[in-house]
Amino acid sequence: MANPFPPETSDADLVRRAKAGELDAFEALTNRYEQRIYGLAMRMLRQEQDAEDVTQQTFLSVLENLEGFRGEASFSTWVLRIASHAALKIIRKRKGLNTVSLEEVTEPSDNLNSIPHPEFIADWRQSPEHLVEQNEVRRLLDEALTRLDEKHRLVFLLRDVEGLSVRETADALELSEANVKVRLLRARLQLREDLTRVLGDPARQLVKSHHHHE
Amino acid sequence: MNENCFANKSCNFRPADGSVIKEINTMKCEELLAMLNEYVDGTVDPAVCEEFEKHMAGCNPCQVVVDNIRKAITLYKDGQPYAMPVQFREKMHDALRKKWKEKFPAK
Repeated sequence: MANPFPPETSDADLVRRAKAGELDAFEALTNRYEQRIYGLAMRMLRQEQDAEDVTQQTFLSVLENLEGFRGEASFSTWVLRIASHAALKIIRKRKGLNTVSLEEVTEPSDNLNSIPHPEFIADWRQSPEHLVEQNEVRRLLDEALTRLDEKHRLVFLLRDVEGLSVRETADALELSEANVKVRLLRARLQLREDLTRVLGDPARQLVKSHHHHE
Repeated sequence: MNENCFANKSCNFRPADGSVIKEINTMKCEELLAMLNEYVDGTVDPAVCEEFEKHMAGCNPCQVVVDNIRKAITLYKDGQPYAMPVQFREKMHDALRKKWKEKFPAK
């Protein structure tokens, strides 16, 4: 079916029309976000069936709760929030836990004083532009992501991949902005560390003279 | 790509004569680490940004770390997205239409 809505139609317009009972408007919203949600779920879960479950649950939930959506957050943030909850739920289930709580108590480690210092510092052998095209790199990227704790991974994906602001990421995950910032910093530093161990040029490794471990 | 300090002309500290700056490294690596997010995202205060860049001009490891982080973000952002399987998409849209009809039986 051809999409009856031009691309410039805002999400808010589509939401209004969907609420009024226009199936086409709801489908247009789904078409706009399904790939992003599926991609986020794949990066969180690395398993197709689980990613499909998250995607379908997300849009069923959007349909179920649309009337209650007041537009305080943007539609995209709201959808990403629903998907984040669904993905975390699966991760918790895998770990044998039943509770889902995004608003976890801030851990003692979630402050700036305990941020690990960079250890392996080296220029990379190749530019990202070269690397993006290589399949091998995708595997490396995914593996590095998987090694992140899921709450750091989710913050990184929403902020740096989905492009939400710190405020929006905080809204989506029901966290404080300060907490988002610390988690983001941890995620970025850990990914850098991990990727540098693979992509760094050992010949161009730098040693920090005042490193705290030395 | 995020806007960043490098693109912001109001904050583009470089030693004019190309010399290596040693004595003005007032910011410590730890302080740089604490502001790294804001710097990479281009949301750091211009005065702080200048300090940040002064530090990097005299501290190659910090410069490389910042560069690595930017590259890492670019890799993830520009990486090939996962394509949703077509069959699944059709199945999901069917399920959504069915649910829609339960919700809006008259339409």
